[in-house]
Amino acid sequence: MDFDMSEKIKKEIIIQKIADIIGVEKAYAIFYKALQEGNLIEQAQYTKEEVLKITEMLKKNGGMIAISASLIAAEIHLNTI
Amino acid sequence: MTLKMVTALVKGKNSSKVGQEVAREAKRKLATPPAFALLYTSTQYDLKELLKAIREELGNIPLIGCTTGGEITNQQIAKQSVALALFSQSDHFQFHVAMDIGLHDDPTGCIQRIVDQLPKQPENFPYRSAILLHDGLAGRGEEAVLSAATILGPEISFAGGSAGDDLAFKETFVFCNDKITKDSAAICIIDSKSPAAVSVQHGHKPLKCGFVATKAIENVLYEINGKPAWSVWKETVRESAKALGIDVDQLKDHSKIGSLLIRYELGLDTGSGYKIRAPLSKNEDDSLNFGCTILEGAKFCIMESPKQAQLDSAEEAAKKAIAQMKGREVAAALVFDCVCRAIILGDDFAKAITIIQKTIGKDVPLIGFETYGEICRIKGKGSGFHNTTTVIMLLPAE
Repeated sequence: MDFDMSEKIKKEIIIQKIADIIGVEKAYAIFYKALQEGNLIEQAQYTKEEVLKITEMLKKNGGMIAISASLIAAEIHLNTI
Repeated sequence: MTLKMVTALVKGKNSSKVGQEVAREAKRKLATPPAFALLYTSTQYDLKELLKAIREELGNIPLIGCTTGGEITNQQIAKQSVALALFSQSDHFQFHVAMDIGLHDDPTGCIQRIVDQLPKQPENFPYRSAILLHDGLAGRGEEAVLSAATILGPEISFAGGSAGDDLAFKETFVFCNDKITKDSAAICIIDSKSPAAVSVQHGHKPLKCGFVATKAIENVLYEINGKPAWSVWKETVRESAKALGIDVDQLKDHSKIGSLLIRYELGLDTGSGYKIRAPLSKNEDDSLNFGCTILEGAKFCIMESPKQAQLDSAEEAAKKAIAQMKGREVAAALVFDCVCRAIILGDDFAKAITIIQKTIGKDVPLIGFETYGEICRIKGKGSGFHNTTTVIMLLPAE
């Protein structure tokens, strides 16, 4: 599927997807850790390319966070996010 | 041909005879060859004998099912029974089933192996939805749902539930065609010409918030705010439970502790609402067992579950589902209702099912079971594994 990797996604949309399994407060903490590990700065929104990089960092948490990160990546690839 | 679903519910002592009767009754009601069967049963039966008898009557049609905490049809809500739904052949629907084992150790691998067995979506059936059933004691509900959403594709909506075992909490079973397995999941893919509807609603409100899971391993919560989980739970609910006539300090029996825990569940603060997690039992070390993984560091509330809110949530779930149908005729209603709700509501549980029937249409055939966890995955929405909710899936006639 063709889609624009520079298209932007709001930070809250990504955090909400993690918050659904770990709670909102911990989700923010995990998200910021992923940003740090991916050498990304905090922004209101990220390009799809950046979100894929964030999901790679999130996968390092293993378990449900990793599965959830895979789901976010799948949504990016299928253009459903 | 439009889709038709019929249901039958039978109780008895002889597993083989019960299987034969329930299949014959459903077949008689359908009057045309079935395309798919959905089976829910109490664990009190010899499952091999039961399934063998049903398969002998129905032939090799696709079938999935599981053991439950109680069986529900449009005619009856029962315990220690067998409920069967048959779906007619239809130009508008195709059903495909598959299952696999190894859910606990590798939930993603298990779901992947199941999906690998299923056919690709045909071009002339633009909508795909699914029913997902899994071992209710494998402790992998959340992982199974996230994996299914990833592997099936995020645009697919699905519903389902965690198998039960009549509240024994010993072992639960999932069926697919002739197989009866533990530590497993089964999926029925539904390809259709118009979309299915799925909805979920809970009826809990926070009693007290500000708790953090400071020690949790898999589905066991050991410490809350650095203290043993059960002591925090007991302290928090003491006054509220007293109003219900329960003295938390006198609770010694495991089943009574279990009943209390079901009234006061964990509410994960997702920022946009609460995700309910049911504590199922207490261990000797005062840790609490949950039906799915609790992640360390999660911040949560302890919730309370007023009866009226549980009835209202059933109606809300039904309203949400029927709204998605946009006036299309409903051929079948599949209900996945938590066994905890049945305990909280007691005799009023039947009222909740009646409310659902009134909302979706009293003549709509309905089958369901009392689950150990509910699944409702809607495109673009959260993870989809829930506790103490009502999940409804509606299939259109065409």
